[in-house]
Amino acid sequence: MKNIIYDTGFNLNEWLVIGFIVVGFAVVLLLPKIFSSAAALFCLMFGVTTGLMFDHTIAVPPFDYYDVGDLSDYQYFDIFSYLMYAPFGYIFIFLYLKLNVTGFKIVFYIILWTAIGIGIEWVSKEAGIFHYKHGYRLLYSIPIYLFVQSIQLVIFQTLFQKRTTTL
Amino acid sequence: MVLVIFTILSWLVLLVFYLLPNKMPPIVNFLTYMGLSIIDINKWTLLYSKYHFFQLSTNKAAFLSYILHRDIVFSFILLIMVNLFFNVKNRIMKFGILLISYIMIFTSIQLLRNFKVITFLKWNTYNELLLLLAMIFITLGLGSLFRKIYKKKDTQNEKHYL
Repeated sequence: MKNIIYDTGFNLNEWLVIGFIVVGFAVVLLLPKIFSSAAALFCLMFGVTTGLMFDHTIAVPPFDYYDVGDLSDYQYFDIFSYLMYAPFGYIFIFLYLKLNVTGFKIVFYIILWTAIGIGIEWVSKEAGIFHYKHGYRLLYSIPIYLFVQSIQLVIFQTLFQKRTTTL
Repeated sequence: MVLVIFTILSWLVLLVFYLLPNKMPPIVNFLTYMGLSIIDINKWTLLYSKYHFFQLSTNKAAFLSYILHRDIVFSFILLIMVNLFFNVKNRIMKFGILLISYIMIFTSIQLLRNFKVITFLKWNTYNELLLLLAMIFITLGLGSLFRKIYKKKDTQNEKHYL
């Protein structure tokens, strides 16, 4: 597989990744501590795990729909960049609990977070974090966000929450 | 053919895991699975995409077999191993569990090689065996860490979700 070089310097895309991580984790630290250690770890790790699973399945040959970072080859900075998914999973569950989202409101809550995800992905694409290939479009990420967030809520409810609501 | 084999293997390890008696708490299993996946996916991609130690087949059926191996067969064999390991007291039994898991994972990798799903370039069986051994100890470490975190009682705030 030929390595594609998109960029060689430490510039906007790297700084944006660092910005997302610093701001995201600052928000996580400033929020009231409502989770046990295990629940907090679950919320932080879920986005990282699913992000890795999807990227390393559809963004590598034979599918190869996009590249992450400066090169098409995997870089150490790319590993670090997955940390930016962690605070989103945490804040997603935190607000779900704090706003007491129940019943059909969950559908709108997930759609809202999908819109946020798409917005952030668009910014990331424009900054050069993602490079779409082989006809991939931003809209194709919508079902991924919808499913991943729904699965995160279902698993959180199953593992941690007393079942007062159902998804 | 390779996709059929890995689909059957995936079904088998998932069923064995589901039927396993006296498992660790689901939260601990889930955290261990996520921790293991984060390390394993990065390991695979670094080895073939950064260092080009081996080549992955671009055939879609072969690639899906690799995904089944990476996300289900490999992870769940290690998850079954860590559950059994912490469940038995006898040292010989513990060693047996590690050895059998080691052989099973290695067999799965050899199947991928035999069906040309992965082709070693600057990699060899000896390196693979060492890496698998490291992954076994990493899994035991993760399992042990998440068990401790799970057992730790959060008493500061009664509103904590567990």
